[in-house]
Amino acid sequence: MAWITPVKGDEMRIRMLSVVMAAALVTAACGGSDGDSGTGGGSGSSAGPADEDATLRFSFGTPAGSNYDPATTTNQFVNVYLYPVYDRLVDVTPEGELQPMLAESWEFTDDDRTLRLTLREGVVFHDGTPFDAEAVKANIDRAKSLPNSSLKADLAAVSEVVVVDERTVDLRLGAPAGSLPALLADRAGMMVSPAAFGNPDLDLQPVGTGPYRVTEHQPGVVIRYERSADYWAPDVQTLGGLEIQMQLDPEVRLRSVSGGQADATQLNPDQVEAAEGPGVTVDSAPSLGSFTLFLNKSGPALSDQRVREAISLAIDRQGISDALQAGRCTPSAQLFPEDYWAHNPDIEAPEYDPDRARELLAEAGQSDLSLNAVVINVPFYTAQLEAIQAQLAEVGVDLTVTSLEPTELLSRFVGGEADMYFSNWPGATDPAKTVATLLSAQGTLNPGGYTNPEIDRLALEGLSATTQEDRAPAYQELSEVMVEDATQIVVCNATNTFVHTEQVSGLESTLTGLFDFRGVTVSA
Amino acid sequence: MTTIRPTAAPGAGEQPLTDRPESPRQRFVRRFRRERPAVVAFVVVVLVALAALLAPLLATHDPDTQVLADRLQAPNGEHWFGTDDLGRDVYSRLLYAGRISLLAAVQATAIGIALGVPLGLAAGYLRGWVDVVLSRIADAVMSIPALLLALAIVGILEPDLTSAMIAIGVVYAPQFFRLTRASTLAVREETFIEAARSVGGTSRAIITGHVLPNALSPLVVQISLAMGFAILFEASISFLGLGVQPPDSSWGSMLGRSTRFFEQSPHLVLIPGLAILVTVLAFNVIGDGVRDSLGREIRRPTQ
Repeated sequence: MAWITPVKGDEMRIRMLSVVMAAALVTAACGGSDGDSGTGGGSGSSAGPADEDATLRFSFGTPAGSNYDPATTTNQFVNVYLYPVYDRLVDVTPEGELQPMLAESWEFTDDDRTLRLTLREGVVFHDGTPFDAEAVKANIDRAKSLPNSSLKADLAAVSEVVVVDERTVDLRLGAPAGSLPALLADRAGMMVSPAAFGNPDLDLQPVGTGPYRVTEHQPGVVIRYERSADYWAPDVQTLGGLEIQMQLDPEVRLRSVSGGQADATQLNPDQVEAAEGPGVTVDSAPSLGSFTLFLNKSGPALSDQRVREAISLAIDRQGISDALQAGRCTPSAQLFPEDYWAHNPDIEAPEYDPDRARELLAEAGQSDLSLNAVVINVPFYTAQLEAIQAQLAEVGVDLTVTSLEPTELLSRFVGGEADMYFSNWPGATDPAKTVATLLSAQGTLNPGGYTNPEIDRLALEGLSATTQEDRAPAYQELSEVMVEDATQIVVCNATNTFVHTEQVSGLESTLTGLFDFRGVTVSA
Repeated sequence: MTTIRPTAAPGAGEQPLTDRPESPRQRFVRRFRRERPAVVAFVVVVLVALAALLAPLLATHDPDTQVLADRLQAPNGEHWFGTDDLGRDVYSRLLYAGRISLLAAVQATAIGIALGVPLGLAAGYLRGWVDVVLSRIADAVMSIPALLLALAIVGILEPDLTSAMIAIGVVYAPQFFRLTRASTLAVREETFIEAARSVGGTSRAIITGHVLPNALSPLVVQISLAMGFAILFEASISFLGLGVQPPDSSWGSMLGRSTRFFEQSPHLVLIPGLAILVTVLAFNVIGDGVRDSLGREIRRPTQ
């Protein structure tokens, strides 16, 4: 089987050649482009006017299992599939600024013990149920009470939901909730039709108020959407339909765009060179993502701050970024990237210092240390951990690497079987959520149950203010503590890279590195 | 009347003119040497094995040392086969990967034999319900696509080379089982077995002393073929990232990690691909040669 690969490569090369030739022919013949063939579009020909009936075919890397109910799904990446169907109460720009969506405005009142939402008028769910204050109450009550709800932590501060009138709803707060508006831009703010709560297939057939509705769902393969009728913001409902294909293999995703089976996809930065070609555009955007070594800080070695700091100093961040991420990853020690409101500009990326790392390990009595790490079974990720493995070997740390399927991987790290887990932390709509996930005693990515009173204090402080300006100092200080205590080892702040055909315009990635398809057009 | 003589046809190897009859081994060697492609393949396998064995002497670099700045180099004077995506010397890695690929093949085949042969002997010799039960189990295992079964086993166990080899061994076991059982069935009806039984030989003594030696020939052929396919299987599993774990590599994992760079650095794919191709082909050709050299000679009547 394996010996076929060179032949496969030849086929690919021939196909690429024919694509180039076809492109040249098309350009020579008419200078136009053929919407169906995707890559057939001649280089140099600009996209025509948007086709309102066109379907965007997007290939996405993470299938999100079989649960698409925003209140119970546990998958971070499922939002890509949910955004088209579910509007949120609040929207967040790629820069992290909050914007009105189903809530036209919100304000903290009653000495910050109530968050009052004023709702948009005239919005109707796909099944005809009107969207009003009762619907908001029903959704939040459901998310707080469902036994398998994954939103309980996000909504923990909400003690009661009170309907004031049809367009006004009060969230009574039992705890500081500065992060709540941003969390309402995530799954906690996705509004499901209350009439569909009882649908046995709600987890596969979402019913929301969004610009598109699901027509076909093959779990793990593809979801197809059509334009929904009478959408409240017709100017962003720019597609006739949407098709999200699920494909874990980044090489296959790229080939599906160059081969015309998809119009756009997300790439890994190391694919940019291979992606650039006639008829396609490679785009990148800053993201909240950070390539990070998550640590189980309860082990005998990793409970020692000196060992954690030594590992951080032993990593050649710039080398990894240059060689394995095409230089598109900014070396850093903090989770919050530059230009994000929670970023701390005073923290510098650690210098690569293997000598100091050896000293620290010797001080900690760990000159001959063995650790194990898990990583997703995708070469782009395994190669980076292999580079780290070699760099740690330089300072006397013997790292065993195991590459695994996504689900197996998490259960091993969360279950305490692995010392480290290397991945891209995608970020969250609010820094409070990142802190809770990584550093609270019950945080899912804090398997050792590490706690630090300083961090707990600052986390509470970050929630007690209600504006980004007032909250920022707490998170900046938090970053400082995280870096000092090396609570996790950030390698670099990621860039989100994606590719699309020339017919596609308006595609941009969200704050958390995902895609919302509002305003995206496909030209004829 | 036609006389049949044990002399081979003209042009073939000469029958040694001694009084002592030729031993089975001598006869095998004489006949195998006539199989030119198999001899060449045998030399290739010996060379590959030597290269793997002597990897520490032949390697020009440490196979795991990364120089990130020197990544994806084309073959040159310093790096004969270029460097991979982490700036490691491909030539040195290829030698060490050969060790793992060959060792993996030996392990897998050994597991297949250890499981399949004793059970095959038992089923063929004892017949009855033992045969019925074991044969149905073998049928069931064989009905599952081999690679899927192997992936499932690796999924249950830890994803590393040993699991992968256990998986391949399990895939192989029914093949060895069937082959051994068939030979045993044929042999157990022979009169010499009846004779051994009539003088009070135990089942165990008869199986090891009489049945097994007579069932050996087809097994040797199967072993050679199995070695080749084990390398291929290991390559497939490691290609998918479920076999050997970094920083070690096998030819399959070298290939797997390199497909991403096919456009920029085709040598990264071609070199391990060729190593797999040549070695697997060699084992198969040897298997053919062994098959033609063992067992009953096709004798031709004299003119």
